[in-house]
Amino acid sequence: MIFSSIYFIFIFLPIVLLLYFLVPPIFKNTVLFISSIFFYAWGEPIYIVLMLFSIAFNFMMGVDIDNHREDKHYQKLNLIFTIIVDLFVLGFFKYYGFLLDTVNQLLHTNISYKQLALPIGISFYTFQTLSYVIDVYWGKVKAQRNIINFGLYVSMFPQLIAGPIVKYIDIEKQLKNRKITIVTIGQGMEYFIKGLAKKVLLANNIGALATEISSLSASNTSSLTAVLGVVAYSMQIYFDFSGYSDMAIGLGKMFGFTFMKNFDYPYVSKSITEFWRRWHISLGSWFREYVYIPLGGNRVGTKKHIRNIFIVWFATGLWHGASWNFVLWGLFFGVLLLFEKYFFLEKLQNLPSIVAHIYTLVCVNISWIFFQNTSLGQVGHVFKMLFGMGNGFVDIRTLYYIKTNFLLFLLCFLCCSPFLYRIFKKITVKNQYIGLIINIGLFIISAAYLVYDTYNPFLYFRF
Amino acid sequence: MKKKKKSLLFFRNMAIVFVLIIFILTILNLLKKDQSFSESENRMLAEKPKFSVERLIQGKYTDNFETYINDQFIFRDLFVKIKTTTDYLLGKREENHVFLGKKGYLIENFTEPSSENMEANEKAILSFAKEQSEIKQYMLLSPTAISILDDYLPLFAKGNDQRGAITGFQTALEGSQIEMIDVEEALIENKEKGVFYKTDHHWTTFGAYTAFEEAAKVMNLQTETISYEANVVTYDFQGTLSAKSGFRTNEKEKMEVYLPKSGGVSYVVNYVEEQEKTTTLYNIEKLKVRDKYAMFLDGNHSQIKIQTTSESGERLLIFKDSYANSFIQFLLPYYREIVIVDPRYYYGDIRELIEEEQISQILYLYNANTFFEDNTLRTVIGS
Amino acid sequence: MDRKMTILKILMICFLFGFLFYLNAKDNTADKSVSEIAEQLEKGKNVNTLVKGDANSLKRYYNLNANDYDGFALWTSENPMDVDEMIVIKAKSDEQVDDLEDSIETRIKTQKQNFEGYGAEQTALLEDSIVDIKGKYVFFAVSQNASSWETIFLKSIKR
Repeated sequence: MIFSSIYFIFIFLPIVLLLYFLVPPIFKNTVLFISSIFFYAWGEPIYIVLMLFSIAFNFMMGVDIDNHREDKHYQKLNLIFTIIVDLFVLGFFKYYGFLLDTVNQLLHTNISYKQLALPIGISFYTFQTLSYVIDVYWGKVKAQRNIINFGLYVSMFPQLIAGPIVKYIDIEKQLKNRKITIVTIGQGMEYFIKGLAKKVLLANNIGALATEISSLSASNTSSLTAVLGVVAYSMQIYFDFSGYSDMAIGLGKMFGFTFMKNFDYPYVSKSITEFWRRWHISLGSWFREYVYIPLGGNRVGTKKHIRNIFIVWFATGLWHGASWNFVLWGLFFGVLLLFEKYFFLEKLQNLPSIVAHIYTLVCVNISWIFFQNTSLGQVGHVFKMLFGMGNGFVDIRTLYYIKTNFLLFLLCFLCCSPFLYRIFKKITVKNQYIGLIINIGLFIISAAYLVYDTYNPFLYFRF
Repeated sequence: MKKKKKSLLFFRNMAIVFVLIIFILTILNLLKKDQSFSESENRMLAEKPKFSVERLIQGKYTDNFETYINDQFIFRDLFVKIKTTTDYLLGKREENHVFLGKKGYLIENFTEPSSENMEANEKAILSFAKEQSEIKQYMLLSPTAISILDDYLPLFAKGNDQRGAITGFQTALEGSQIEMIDVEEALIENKEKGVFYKTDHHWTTFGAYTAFEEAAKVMNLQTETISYEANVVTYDFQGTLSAKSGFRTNEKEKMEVYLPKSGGVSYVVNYVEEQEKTTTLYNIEKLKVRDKYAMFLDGNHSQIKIQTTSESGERLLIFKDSYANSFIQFLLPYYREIVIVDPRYYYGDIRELIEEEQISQILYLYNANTFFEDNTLRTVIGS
Repeated sequence: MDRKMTILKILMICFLFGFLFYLNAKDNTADKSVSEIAEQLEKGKNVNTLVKGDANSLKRYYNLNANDYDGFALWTSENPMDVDEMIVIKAKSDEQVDDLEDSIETRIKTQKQNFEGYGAEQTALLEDSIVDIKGKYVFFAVSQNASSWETIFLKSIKR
């Protein structure tokens, strides 16, 4: 199930909200847990078994490790066992084909395999169970002894499919004790509508342009068109992902959970270092906590530090997808971060901020080229188009795209900075009816786009 | 403090307003009866899907359920209108491959054909042409508005190259038994007078007549003795393109029928598979529904035979798409019999048919958009 | 207590591998062409008494255009009073599979209508007809021998 759909907003959500508020407090978590299972099973009627397995297994292991506080050796063994099983499951579904493809290419073998579908959200919930079990081992947190509460932590529908990745410590207390008032529900609604509008009105529409441009032949792609395509894609991925995170945070809030924000206007960053403090915050935080710091972080010698950075960014890239272009994307950032740290971060801060902004945006947009295109050939093609080897610098199609998408691009750019939201906040303080009307408007228009999803007038080309 | 209180009040109202909106819409949806047909989209709307464990596991049940909820959502048409209006305000001038052009014209873009399809069609037609070399063969491949009205496209818009595809095809047929009828010039010359509908992908009756005058030259038909009078049969026609794009859904235009003033013939129309005969080319009943163009020859049929009182001994076989429906009337005076075959539905033996009906001329009558996507003609004329 | 834990862990691992195995085994279709499958089906009981259909028959009985799909094989009864029939179609995409299922449902309905009121035997056979969807293959059979034909079909697409 996805949030940006009619059946979620007008069937699933009202039913769950109703049940949740009618039921006495001891059963509230159960209601949420069962709803989340239903939510997941709706889209994955077979892989729900896998998720239930993951819940049962990690629950059991968490309790086991917690029960053996005196026996460090036992704890370590079982931690490793748990991590291996969790990563094995993730690896099997996500990376098996990739691994075999690479082996086949390198060794010129022809091992065949059956491509299984990727279970939705597996990268997210696996990282959550890992964070839990590692935190229990470190003694940072006590094992959760109530399987419903634990199951809820793993499968909670607001953040199950696309994050934010919630660490168990951040939510432990909230599982037992959370305050829901009409104000928190309203806040949740506001977040949800903001995210919905970002996804449906901005991301989907600018994404349609990005898709169209990426499928143009070389003879139809001018240099400027290619630039529009790359920028459109960076807008799409930002509003899509941050929109979804906003919806997740909003939904969490409606049920009394406070998740940390996942995006903090990353495109206003003045350096790549800053960018990664504002983009996909929960993932960066996870890798720092469970990979970077345990490896020594930056408190070791330069050589080891560089090694740590490479490991983390290799893994970050790989986490996004089972393909070498994602690794390239990750390492690209790793290298830039090292350069900034060791060479020019200070110099950057002394330059006029416009230069820093441009530098950051150019690097980030280039990184999306690696992210969007799975083969080196496609990446090369995009660069060729950017340098005018397609249809010159500008052509009539470029003008057409600019003319028909101008307002959309403008809106996207404005929404990349907190500027518009601050104005909105000022207005609602002065006159809350305007704020309400704007939200209602955004909601209705978003709903309109969602209803249109199945608009399919009888294709009569065969008349 | 006042700011904080105002802020809290705002969120309280947000909660109330949106819980109300969502619950009210949900209840309205539950109360609303399912609709089976959408006038504006001209299709059947999804109905409640059947449940089975098998379908659930395959994910089919949930997919169908999602479609069902969307299709049956209350105020659906209003929401669709909101969407297309928002798109328009954002600057979009193209929806579902249909451009919102100047002078009120909706213009459908041309889809680049796959070279395999093109070659397969070429091969089939050439080989059939050779086989039937004793029969005079003609082809009228009409460009559509995307080529003829290209200056009405929105600023900077450019359609895909339909002209190139047509020229390419004509070149491939050079030297064969088939004589090409080129109507491009004639349509361009007359475009101000309205050769295409504004909300539909078909040519107007005037457009069909303009094309016919060209065809008459190539097919050696004497047109001096016959004249027509245009009669408006409705002012309420709304074509397929406004449904497809969601643009101009309030626009209505006129539809004409050309009746012979002099030199006409009588005829009987035989809908072969349905075993029905009538003496008119026009089904007036269709003027009461949305799809008014189907008035011409009652829309789609696998096979139609028209016998006329023409003195000519010629018998014509037409392979066609719907463009022919408003064109055929102009051919009546020149043929004793006209057999019309729609390759999408026809499953008989075309060679038998040609022999039985003693066909002396063959005409392929298509518009370029349909023709290059077609993959049914070659199964009918193939060996 | 520890022993119980160890047993549980082993059970969990067994369950996991069992599940993965099951996933691999189900829907395991080889990528055979329809003509290969048809060759096998021809050997089915009494299939040689049926008439092999072509693109025209496909259009006529199912309103389907042969060129839209990745191959098909159709057998119908010679005698119009018999309903014995079998078809295998390979779809080009997963979306087509749904439409194919609909076309077959329509065919069954039409045939039932044709024999309504006087063809008890034929109606019974139609009720017992078999529809199978395996990956991109859609299979339909009406006959006393339908089950045996289905077995041949399933065997022919196994890896």
